[in-house]
Amino acid sequence: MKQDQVYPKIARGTFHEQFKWSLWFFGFLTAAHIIGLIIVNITDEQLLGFFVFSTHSVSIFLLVCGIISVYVFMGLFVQQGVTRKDSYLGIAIAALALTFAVTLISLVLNAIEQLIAGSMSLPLETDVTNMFEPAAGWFAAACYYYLNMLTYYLVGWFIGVGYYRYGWLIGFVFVALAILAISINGYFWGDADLSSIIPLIPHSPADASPVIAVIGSLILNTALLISIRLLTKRMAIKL
Amino acid sequence: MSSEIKLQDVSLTFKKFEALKNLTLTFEAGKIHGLIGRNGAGKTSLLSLIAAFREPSAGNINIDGKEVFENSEIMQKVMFVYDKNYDNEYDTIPSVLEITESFRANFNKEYADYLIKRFKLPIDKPVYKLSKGMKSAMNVVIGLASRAEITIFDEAYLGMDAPAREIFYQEILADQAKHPRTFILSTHLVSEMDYLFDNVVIIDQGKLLLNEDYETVISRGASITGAADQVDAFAADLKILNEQKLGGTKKVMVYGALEEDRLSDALQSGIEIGPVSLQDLFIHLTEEEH
Repeated sequence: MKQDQVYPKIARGTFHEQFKWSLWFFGFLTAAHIIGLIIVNITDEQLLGFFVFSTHSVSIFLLVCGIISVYVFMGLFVQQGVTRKDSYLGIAIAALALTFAVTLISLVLNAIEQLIAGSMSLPLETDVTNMFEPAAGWFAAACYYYLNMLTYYLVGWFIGVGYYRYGWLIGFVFVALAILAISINGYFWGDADLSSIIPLIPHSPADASPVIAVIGSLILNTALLISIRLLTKRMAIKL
Repeated sequence: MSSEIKLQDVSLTFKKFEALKNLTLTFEAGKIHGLIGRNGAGKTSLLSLIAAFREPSAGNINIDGKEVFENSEIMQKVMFVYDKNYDNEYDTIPSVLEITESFRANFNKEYADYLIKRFKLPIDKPVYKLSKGMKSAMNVVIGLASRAEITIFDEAYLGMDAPAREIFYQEILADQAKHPRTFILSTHLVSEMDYLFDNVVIIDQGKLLLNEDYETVISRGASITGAADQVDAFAADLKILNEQKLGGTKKVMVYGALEEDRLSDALQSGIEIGPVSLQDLFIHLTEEEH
């Protein structure tokens, strides 16, 4: 009876640990953004608002969290008598929660920045053509941000599992697959124009309809989650 | 609160290397089992299978009649303590123990605190800064205080000094008396730890060599000294592990069932019969295989 409830505990523990890392990360990122604002103010240029500014850094942060999650947590949990299935479910739920948390933190910091900008002049640029720009509709921007950031976490986790299970040489195959996954994601969201490389596929779906981009993103994330489960299902734990 | 482990035709293969070959053995519940084997014999491979760290290539491993691998109920019963890498562990010992406490139903914090004091472990230093012996002692605290039905120590003493090892041995016996469980102690320090064992399992090159009660193993080993011809006659049908000769005197180490009548006859004919330590038996039993 008790064993059925193991994965929520795993999820809480994993989230708690990674959330601590993300607080450190946002501390540094906020400092970098403030320094950036000071510099562009001197050079008489403009900087994108915090939410859009954070996209690249947060995606790399989540990629790294994903890569190390298998190394940090999997062996620890199995040593404590937790099954791979419960560990997987727990880490997956924690990944969803962590992505939600970083989206929320970025939104809140962006809102604070906007409030400050209301009372004093900040060299901020609002690019409403950017899908992540909250000024163009914060809820939709947050949903797009969430889906993209989640992809980076899952891609990282996928790479980590590949290296952990197969070693460095085959690990490179996972990096190649990860680059492919990121490119497909970029295509959905209009960052990478695959139609110029592969003539038969249409131009960016995000331009046509964000709904198609969201569906594509959901399918990609589900495929990554399924692949990770299959790879970790009977995986040997390193001593 | 203790569990039985049964292995049936268990093999473990890494590419072309066979780490374990058709092992069939039972670790009886509530006993302290000494798992002995030379380097590369397959001790850690065997233990990692029992702890479900990996799956056997063939065969079954059951604990209390149930398959171990990916069985939540059974995996919870096993605590596998091994030489873990703590280079990236920035938390302190109490924080590390908190994680164990949250997963282990029988974990006893008072006992853990008592052990920390007995081993004189610092509670305010990050674990990665501790000495090798201290990290090992922390592992011992984790293993003992978890009070899991099956507690496995895989060379848990590495880096620990003699007094710390002595505390480790004392605590195993003391806690086993109060909270019986199934212990498996894998070791190279046979002469130092043999008094702990209720049962002895020797594996060599992935194969089971011996799985016997400690007293039985010891009673089967003997050192026979006397006139060469008499010793040869006495040991003719016994398994000779080692022999030394000096002039007309011969000393052989034998392994096999020695009946009382035979022993008294031997003593009357002037043959000296002495005991053989588990360490000597281990050395010579595994030596002949190589």
